[in-house]
Amino acid sequence: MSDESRIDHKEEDKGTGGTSKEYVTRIYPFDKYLIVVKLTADGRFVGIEEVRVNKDFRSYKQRASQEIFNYVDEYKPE
Amino acid sequence: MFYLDAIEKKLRFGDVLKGFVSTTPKISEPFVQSTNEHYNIGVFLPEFSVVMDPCCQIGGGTISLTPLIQVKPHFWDIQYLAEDMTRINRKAMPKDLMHPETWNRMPVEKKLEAINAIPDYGQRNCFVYGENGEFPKYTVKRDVRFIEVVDPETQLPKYEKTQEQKTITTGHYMIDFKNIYHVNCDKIFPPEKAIDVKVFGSKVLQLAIRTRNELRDKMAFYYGYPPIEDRIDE
Repeated sequence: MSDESRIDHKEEDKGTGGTSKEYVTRIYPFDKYLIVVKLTADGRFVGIEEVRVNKDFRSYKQRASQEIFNYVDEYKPE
Repeated sequence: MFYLDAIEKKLRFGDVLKGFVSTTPKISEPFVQSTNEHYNIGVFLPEFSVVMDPCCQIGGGTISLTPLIQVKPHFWDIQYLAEDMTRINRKAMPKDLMHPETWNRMPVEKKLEAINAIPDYGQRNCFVYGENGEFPKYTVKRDVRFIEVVDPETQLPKYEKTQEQKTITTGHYMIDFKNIYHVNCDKIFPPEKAIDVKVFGSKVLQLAIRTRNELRDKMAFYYGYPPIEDRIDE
């Protein structure tokens, strides 16, 4: 997994005698939510850590597609 | 509160100043073949100018400005804006920000698109400065009144036009993001340094934090709005 794809990086089981195991978390947008997924270092699914509400409910496409506002700025007197 | 009651002793983004000249070069076409072409530079002294540099970028003996100009007369035909012209500074439904004649000319499918749109910025290059005691009032004459009715054919709103003389007296002014220039002045210091006495004397008004945030947001949208051809499908 490339460094740039890592959203969060944690080391767990750091106690004396424990086995060191690395996990990464990645955030996937789903509908109006952001799903924080926990993966092993080799990319295997471990679990869902958190579900957040995506505060910008519009996708980039939706934001760009409000071309109707181009009409707002037009004014040609009859 | 649109402006601060007491101005700070430093220049800030959106401040209203007086005493700075405005320049606009004019050419008939780009100088591709030769540099020996005619050109004009229009110079005038606007009554008021507005600081267009972000607060932390002010200084170094130069300042970006835009003149404060009268609100475009046809904005007064738009009922939503006529009630409060500073609404143009915030997100709203497209129909509310649109001239009635523009609305009437739109095809039905575009009207439906407008009714179902998400509130956003309109008149994107304009930001209105509210009335205050420093700005002289001026009058605007309109000779048409638009009344919203329901179109019996489409069941959608439309505007009927009637001849009616109207004179509006206002102290609202606006800036146009297309009209920004810079002025070199050795007395323009960064905010962390004490302001020059004459520069402080030129400062007339300072926006309240909330208003300055509105100006920053609308200006960022003006430059940050992705055009159709740059759209990336996710």
